[in-house]
Amino acid sequence: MINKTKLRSGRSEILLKLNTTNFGEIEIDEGSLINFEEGIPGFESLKRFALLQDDEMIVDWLQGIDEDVAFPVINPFAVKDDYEFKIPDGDIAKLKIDSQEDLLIYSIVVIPDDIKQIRTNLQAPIIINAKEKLGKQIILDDKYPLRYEFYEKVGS
Amino acid sequence: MLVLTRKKGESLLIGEGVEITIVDIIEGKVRIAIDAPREVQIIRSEIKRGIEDENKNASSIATIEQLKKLKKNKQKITKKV
Repeated sequence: MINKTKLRSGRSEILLKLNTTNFGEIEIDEGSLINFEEGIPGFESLKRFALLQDDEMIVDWLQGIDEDVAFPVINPFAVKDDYEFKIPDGDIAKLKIDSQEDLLIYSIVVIPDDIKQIRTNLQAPIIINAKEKLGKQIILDDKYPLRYEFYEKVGS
Repeated sequence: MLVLTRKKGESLLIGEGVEITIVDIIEGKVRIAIDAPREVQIIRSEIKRGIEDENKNASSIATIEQLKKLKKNKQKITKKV
């Protein structure tokens, strides 16, 4: 069971208690929350997320704070090793990026009923500036697929 | 919604700094040139809609059984290594 976040905020020690469908009751350090100022496409009103990481699981989770919605996310480079893209200048400004080292890159995973069709969205990666606690799902051109199946990379 | 008619070679301005020009009209297709500041992102509508739909698919609560399968898969990988 996921019960911790590993993004550390440093000072803030205000713990938020959240009741989540996926993980039951969890406590999150308010200072570790990531702000998606534009929400994400389809969920524009969801602005604050907690990043939940669990070493046992193949995916991490972006758990919405203001609404109980959770998105499984994965490191896209782990499922497609030649994945590459350029972050548009406008997004670099919005996310206040000044060093690549501050970035966490994810892509959103869909876990369908048939696990063999597990897929991830390489067309719209999630960029998180961990230093500024800012995140955005950026939209690339159509070089990479919206639905990239990767079961063979993780399954038996 | 504003609807207006433009001919080939004509253009229109949207706000400050966005200019859209009709470059060509051939067999039901319109070729459009867009001049916009770099921070203005231009995305085909259907791509945005596809991403919205896929995000909705991702957010539907995964069943515990599915998660267990994932965990198992991960363990198998760990054993292999």
